[in-house]
Amino acid sequence: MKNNKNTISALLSRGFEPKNNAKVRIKTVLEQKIAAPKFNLRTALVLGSILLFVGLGIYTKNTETEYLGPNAAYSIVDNNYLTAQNFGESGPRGLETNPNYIHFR
Amino acid sequence: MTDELYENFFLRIYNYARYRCQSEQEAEDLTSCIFEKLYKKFNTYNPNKASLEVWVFVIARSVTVDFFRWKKFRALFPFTTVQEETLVSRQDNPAEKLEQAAAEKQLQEVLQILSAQEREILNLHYYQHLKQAEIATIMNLTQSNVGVILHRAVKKIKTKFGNVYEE
Repeated sequence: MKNNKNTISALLSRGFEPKNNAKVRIKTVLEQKIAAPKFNLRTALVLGSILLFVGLGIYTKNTETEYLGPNAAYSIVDNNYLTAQNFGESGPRGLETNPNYIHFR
Repeated sequence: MTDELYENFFLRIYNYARYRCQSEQEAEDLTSCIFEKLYKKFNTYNPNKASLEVWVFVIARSVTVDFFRWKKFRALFPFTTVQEETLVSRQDNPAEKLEQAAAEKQLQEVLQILSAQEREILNLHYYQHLKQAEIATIMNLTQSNVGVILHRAVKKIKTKFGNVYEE
């Protein structure tokens, strides 16, 4: 009895036929792509991200408040931080008697 | 030389892409991307390291991975069929064209049940006629692993379409 079944290998080895003159069309597109100046999206994104981070870094550096340590005190009168170094090793504790200074712990 | 490469490998690369893509348009895009990379990398090909066809398919695979990543597709994306209209011209042999269209439809139905990796290995084995060792090099797998995947894929087809196809 004749077997009418197709073989899997015959089906898979047959493949697809490109339609509508795809070979010429793809080659034309390819030549255009190679001739055109290349804009690489990935490179643009990486460079953009780096620029953004550098910009943010510079901006933050210019605006951030310097941390003066746990012994820093804020002067209401001078509108400025006073550091421990300004008042010796004991820190601003000595200022506690001065009503012009608020001491942060 | 690149023209020669295009002439020799166009149909093979197109089919490699077609086995992985959902539609003809997508396969054409991918084919174009693969050849673009091949043209650029051609001067890096070293015949002492691998045969030209293995080198071509290693590049093709890497471009395909990038292509699907870029397109936000997953490798195991369901292979839903997009039916393209088959125009049958009176000048070209219409019977032959219809037969080819029917075969392609059958092939698409079969590919639909397989994973991306299985489709790729089946293409490299049955269509590109590469040896299992070469497929293993291209896919970065062991030869026995390729054999197992191949066997399972064929078994899957037989289970689903056993009444239509035989091994």
